[in-house]
Amino acid sequence: MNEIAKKPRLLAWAPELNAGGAAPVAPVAPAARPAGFGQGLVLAVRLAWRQLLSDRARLATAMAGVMFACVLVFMQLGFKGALFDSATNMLAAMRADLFLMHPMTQASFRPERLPRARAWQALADPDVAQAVPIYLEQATVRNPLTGSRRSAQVIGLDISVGAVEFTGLAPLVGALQRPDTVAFDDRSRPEFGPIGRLFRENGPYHIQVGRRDFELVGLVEIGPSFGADGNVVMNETNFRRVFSRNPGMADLVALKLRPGADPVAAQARLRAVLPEDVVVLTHVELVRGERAYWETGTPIGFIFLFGSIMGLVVGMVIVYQILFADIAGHLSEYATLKAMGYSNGYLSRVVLGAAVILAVIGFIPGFGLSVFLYDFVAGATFLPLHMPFDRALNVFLLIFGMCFTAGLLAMRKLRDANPADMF
Amino acid sequence: MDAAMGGNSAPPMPPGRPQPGGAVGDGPVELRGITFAYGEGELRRAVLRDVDLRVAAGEIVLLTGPSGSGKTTLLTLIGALRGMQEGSARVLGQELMGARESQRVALRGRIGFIFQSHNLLGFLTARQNVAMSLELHAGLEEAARLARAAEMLAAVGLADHVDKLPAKLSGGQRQRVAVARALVAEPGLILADEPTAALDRVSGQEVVHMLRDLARRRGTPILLVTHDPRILDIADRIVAMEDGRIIEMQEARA
Ligand SMILES: Nc1ncnc2c1ncn2[C@@H]1O[C@H](COP(=O)(O)OP(=O)(O)OP(=O)(O)O)[C@@H](O)[C@H]1O
Ligand SMILES: Nc1ncnc2c1ncn2[C@@H]1O[C@H](COP(=O)(O)OP(=O)(O)OP(=O)(O)O)[C@@H](O)[C@H]1O
Ligand SMILES: [Mg+2]
Ligand SMILES: [Mg+2]
Repeated sequence: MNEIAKKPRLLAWAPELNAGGAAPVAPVAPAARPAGFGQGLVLAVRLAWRQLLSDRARLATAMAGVMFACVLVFMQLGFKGALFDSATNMLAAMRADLFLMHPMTQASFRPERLPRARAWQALADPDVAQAVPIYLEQATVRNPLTGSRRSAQVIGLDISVGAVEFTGLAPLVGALQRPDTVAFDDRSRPEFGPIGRLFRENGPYHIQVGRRDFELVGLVEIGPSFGADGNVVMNETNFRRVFSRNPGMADLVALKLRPGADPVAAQARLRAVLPEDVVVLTHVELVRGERAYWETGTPIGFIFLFGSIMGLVVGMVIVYQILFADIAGHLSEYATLKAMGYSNGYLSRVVLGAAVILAVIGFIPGFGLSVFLYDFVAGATFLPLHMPFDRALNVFLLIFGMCFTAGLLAMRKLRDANPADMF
Repeated sequence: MDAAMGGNSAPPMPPGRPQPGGAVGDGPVELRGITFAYGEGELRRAVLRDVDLRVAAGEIVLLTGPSGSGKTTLLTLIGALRGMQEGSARVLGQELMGARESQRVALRGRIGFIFQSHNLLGFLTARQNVAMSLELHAGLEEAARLARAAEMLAAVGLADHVDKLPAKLSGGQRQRVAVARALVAEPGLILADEPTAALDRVSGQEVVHMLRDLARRRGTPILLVTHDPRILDIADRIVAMEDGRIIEMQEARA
C-alpha cells in the first residue's frame, strides 16, 4: 500500500525554496494512510464551520430558524409547566409529611371520602406525631363589592393541631378557633373582589361563604388551582356548621411525623397496617398524582405538545433547506473533494457538523431569549414560569435532534455529487 | 528542463528510478483489455473497446483524439471515479476491476486530479484549498500543512496570493492553485483533463509547463487529455484515440 512513500525522495516541487537547493524535504505522510477518525471529525467540523461562515446571511437565517424553534418549545413547555404547577396549588401548599387518601380519589376537587378513623389508626405508629383529617367542599364566596358569587374551595381542618402549614396560617391559629371565622386565600383569582386588599386596609370584616356570614380574620397564600378559583380555610368545627355531612368521613388525612423520623419507612409501615380503603402518600406523590390527572385527563398537555412539535418541524425544515441549498450549490466542489479521496462518510460528517453547529449557535441565543421571555411573562401574568436545568437540557437535546435529523435528510443530496462527472 | 526523463516510453523504466510497484512491468498505470459501455440494453453504447495502455514511472503521456472518442471516460476509469466493466486496470498497484469502494476512495487520495474547471472551494483561501489535499493524510500538523501549501503555491508562482479567496484570483491563477492542490500531497500519478481549456494561450502554456517541471522533479507520471496542439511539447509520448480505440502511439521528440 505504501509504494509511494517508499519511493526515494527527489527534492519535491520547489528545490529553489530550500537553502542550498538540495535540502531533503520532510517526508509527507504515507499517502495511503488516512487521518484518524477523531482528527478527521475535527477537520470535517472545521470545514463545515468555514462553509457556514462564508455566507453570513444564510447563517443568520439558519440561526434565526433554530432560535425560533428553541423559543417556541421553551415557551410551550414553560406555559405547560406553569399551568400544571398551578393546577396543583392547593395540594402543593398543604405541607405535611404523609397523607392518607382514598385510592379512588382522582383529583382533589372530587375526592372519595375515607373513614376519619384511619387518622387515629395512623397515630398508632410510633413515628406519627399528629394526624389531621381534612375536609374539602366547594362553596360560593360573595364578592364584597359587586355582591356576585363565585365558587371557591373550602378547606376544613383542626387548626389547633398545626400539622398542615399553609403560608400565613400559623399566626391565625387562635383567631380561627373562634366561631364563624375564616381565612381567605390572598392569591385567589381577582373575580372574588378585593377581599385581601379590604382586609389589609380595614382589618377583619364579614364575608359570606355558602349562605352563611363569617368573620374574615386573616389571609393565607395558596393560589388558584384548576379545580378552584380561590380557597377558604376554616377550622373543623366551623366547617361542620356550613356543611352537613357524615362526620365520620374525611376527604384527606395529613400526618406529621416526629422530628428525625424516616417518612419512607413510616409510609411502608402504615401501608402494611392500614386497610385497603386508603393509600399512603408522601407530599411529592400527592402533588404528582394530582398533576398526572390534569396532564392525562385533559387535552391541555396535547395542545402544548402539538405546539412544541410544530416549532420543531418548522425549525427542521429551515435547517434542512439551508443545508440542502449549501450542498446543491456546491455539488461540483463536493464532487471534487470525493475525487481527491474524501469518502462519503467524511462529507456526511461535514454536513452533520454543520447541523450540529447550527444547533449550538441557535440554541444559545434562543435560550437567552427564552429566559428573558419567562421573566417578562411571569411578571405580566403571575404564571410561575421558571427555567429548571432539566428543561434546558431536554430542549437542547430536542433542538440537537431536530438539526441532526435535518442534516441526515440533507445528506442524501451528497449522492448527487458524482466525481465521475467532474472531467 | 529535465532531459533525462524525456523520450523513453518503452517498458523499461527511466534509468536510475526504482519501480514503485516492485514487480517488473508494474508501472503506475497498466491497462489491459479495457472495454466500457454506457447505458443499458437497447441504449447500450460501447465507448471504450479493448484499450491497452501503460504509463511508466515518471512518464508524461498526452491523450488526444476527436470529441467523443472516450478520453474522459478512460481517465475516470483510471482515476477510480467510475466502476470498471471489463478488462484489468492496475493503478499504483491497485487492481480496479472489482475493487471495493473503500479501496477506490483510498486510491483517489493518492492521485492528483486537475479538472477542466478549477473547482476550488470558494469559501477557502488558496492556501486552505491546497491544504485540503493534505488533510486527508495523518501525520502532518495544521501548521505543517499550511506551510507546505504555501511552499507549493510559491512553486506555482502564487507566493503573493496565498491568502486570497478564489474569487479574487484570475482564471490562470485559479488553475495554478488547482495544480498546486493536485501536487501538494505528492501523488503517485497526476490525471488531468483539458486543464488549459478555460485559459488563454499564454497562461495555458504557463500552467502545463509548470505542471511538467514540478512533476519531472519528483518523477510523478502524468496522464493528460488535451485538444490543445500548443502544449504537445511537454509530452514524452502522445497517444491518440479514436472511437474508443487507441490508434496511434507517438514518441515525442526529446
Ligand atoms: N455519463 C455518460 N453517460 C452516457 N454516455 C456518456 C457519458 N459520458 C460520456 N458519454 C458518451 O461517451 C462517449 C465518449 O465520451 P467522453 O466524454 O469519454 O469523450 P471525450 O473523448 O472525452 O470527448 P471530448 O474530447 O469531447 O471531451 C460520448 O459519445 C458521450 O456521448
Ligand atoms: N475580484 C478580484 N479582487 C481582487 N483582485 C482580483 C480580482 N480579480 C482579479 N484580481 C487580481 O487582478 C489581477 C488580474 O486579474 P484578471 O482576472 O483581470 O486577469 P486575466 O488577465 O483575466 O488573467 P487570466 O488570463 O489568468 O484569466 C490578478 O493578479 C488577480 O489576482
Ligand atoms: Mg472529455
Ligand atoms: Mg481572465
